[in-house]
Amino acid sequence: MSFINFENISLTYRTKTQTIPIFDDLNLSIDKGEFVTVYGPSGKGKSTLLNLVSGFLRPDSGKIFVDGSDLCALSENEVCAYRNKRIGYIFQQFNLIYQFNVRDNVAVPLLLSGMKKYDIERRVDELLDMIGLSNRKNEYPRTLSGGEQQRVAFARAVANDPDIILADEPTGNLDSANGRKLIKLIKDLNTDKNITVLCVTHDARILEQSGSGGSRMIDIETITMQS
Amino acid sequence: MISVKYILALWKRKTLGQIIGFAYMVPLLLFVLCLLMTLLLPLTSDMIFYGNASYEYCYKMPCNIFSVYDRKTVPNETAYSLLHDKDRNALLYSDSAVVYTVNDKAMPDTSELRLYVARKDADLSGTIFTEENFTGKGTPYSNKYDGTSQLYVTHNTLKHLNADVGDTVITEYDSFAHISEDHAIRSVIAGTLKPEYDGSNNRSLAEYDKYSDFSALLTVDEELFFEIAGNDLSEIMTVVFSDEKSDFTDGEAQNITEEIRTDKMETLENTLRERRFVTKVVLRFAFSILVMAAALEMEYGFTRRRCEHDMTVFSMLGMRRSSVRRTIAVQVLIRFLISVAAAVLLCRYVYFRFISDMYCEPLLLLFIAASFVIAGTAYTVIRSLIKSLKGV
Ligand SMILES: Nc1ncnc2c1ncn2[C@@H]1O[C@H](COP(=O)(O)OP(=O)(O)OP(=O)(O)O)[C@@H](O)[C@H]1O
Ligand SMILES: [Mg+2]
Repeated sequence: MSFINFENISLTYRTKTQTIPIFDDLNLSIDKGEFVTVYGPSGKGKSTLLNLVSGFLRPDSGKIFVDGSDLCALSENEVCAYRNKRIGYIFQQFNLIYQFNVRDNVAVPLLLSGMKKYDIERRVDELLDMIGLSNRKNEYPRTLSGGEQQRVAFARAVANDPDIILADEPTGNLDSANGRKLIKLIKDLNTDKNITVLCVTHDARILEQSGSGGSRMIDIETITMQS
Repeated sequence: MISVKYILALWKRKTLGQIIGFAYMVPLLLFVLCLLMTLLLPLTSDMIFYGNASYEYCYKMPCNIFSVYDRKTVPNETAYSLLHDKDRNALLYSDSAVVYTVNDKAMPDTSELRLYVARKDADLSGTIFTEENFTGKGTPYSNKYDGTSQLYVTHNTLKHLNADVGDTVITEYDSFAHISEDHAIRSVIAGTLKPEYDGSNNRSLAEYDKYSDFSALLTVDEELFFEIAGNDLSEIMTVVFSDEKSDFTDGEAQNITEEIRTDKMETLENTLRERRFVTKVVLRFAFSILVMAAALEMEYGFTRRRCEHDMTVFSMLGMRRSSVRRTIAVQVLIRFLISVAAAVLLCRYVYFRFISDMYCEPLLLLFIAASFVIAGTAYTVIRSLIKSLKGV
């Protein structure tokens, strides 16, 4: 079995006024260490796909296996632990906690995992070193540039050494230089640590880069019900 | 852990925003607090007053002063003409002879009487009866009436002076120029004033109580009769004197004190048990709880909206739903508790001091505030429990 397995996944969003079918009987498998780029037009279900992998959304029917365990069978606490320890999320909007300084932002997943204070401090220092923001650890996100904020978000995503990185348009709010830098960070992680990456984008640069790296491309339109 | 960090960070980074965000709760809570206070205050403060009152001291005096009521109002023309012209604000009685009609009976001529009644601090212009007036504290009063003036002050004044009933104090007072060259008189603190609570402006003198916010100066010199002016002369309450009772032993005096107390307490307890009163209390409490629940629900909505982004991020990073719920609930609770505290302070120091000008019993206020805190906390806890059972 592959590392991530979607088996007959169906999902429909239901609001008061409408029903939006996203997936019907979707089967998809992703191997460990794969770099998967999901692309395609807006509103087709790319973010939804990532949210299924993170356990944030549950499908109406079907099963999602990650590393052999059925996400839908996990209890709420187990899903939270799974999300905390095995998933690293990077968003287009960075989604930092603006009341926290850089250090505390990076520490959030570590705090949630129940790590000891001393270990947290050490790990945070290590991560800030890695992204080159050690000297700004007491600053608040609003004083950082977009690129710096996204690097903080990256450090936060990898804090717990996840197996899977879910990146939802990570370069969407970055200029090309910063975008390239971030992609390189993610790529390095993918190759050095064999971390599985699902990266949503319509950014041509990523498509090129990942394409050249021989990674897999998924056109969302080929798997979604949204037309 | 992270919830605490987050809430602390919110308060640290956006203190003003936090406070403005829930300021609306304060007037709501103040309103229900005052609603309950005005209902319960007369009875409870009476109960506390009579529970603590001691009448013994009266009986040890050659005269017995049971109760003196003071109609706290600006005197009308008649009454005013009886007052000392020098200081109309101070409502000083002159030492000239005055005969009052009380309860259709003419009071004896009090030509020898030197009686000074000062009004509440705020009403005294130029002759404010304050700590500064007291230039010194004399030796404790030796039980026997020796012609010293008697002085009735408020509990607050007593505390300021660090004095007790029975102490001799020297009062310096501008308007005493005509009776004493050094503008000062010696007097014995004979009692404190019963608090005002029901708007009728009645204050009993000569009953020793610890709860009062009324500053009055009443001095009696040599004669046993005195009177206090009111808005309407026919409404002047009597001062009851009785020479007969002046030779009570300590034991007898104590018994009478007990009798009076039991009698008053019984009347009060009966009022407390009245169906109409109980219904009123229950209804007002129920209303208060409804208002609190509405305020809390509103605050839940606001808090959830305000923290939605951060809570979603926390969930994405693996925070449990129960922790998210707790983070919200704790924030709501903190704001609620701060609002209760603010409402209590406003009630005590603004409403009861400046708006209603009523005596405010601190114990009752604390009791009601505590019941609010318990009700509000219980509400949030039960709410969280229900939500977690529903798995929302
Ligand atoms: N919680 C929700 N409830 C109802 N509808 C939703 C919900 N989340 C997403 N949708 C709808 O589902 C569709 C797919 O959403 P999704 O966010 O997955 O799109 P996307 O491919 O990520 O788009 P974009 O590129 O703009 O981010 C959209 O039409 C969206 O409106
Ligand atoms: Mg999206």
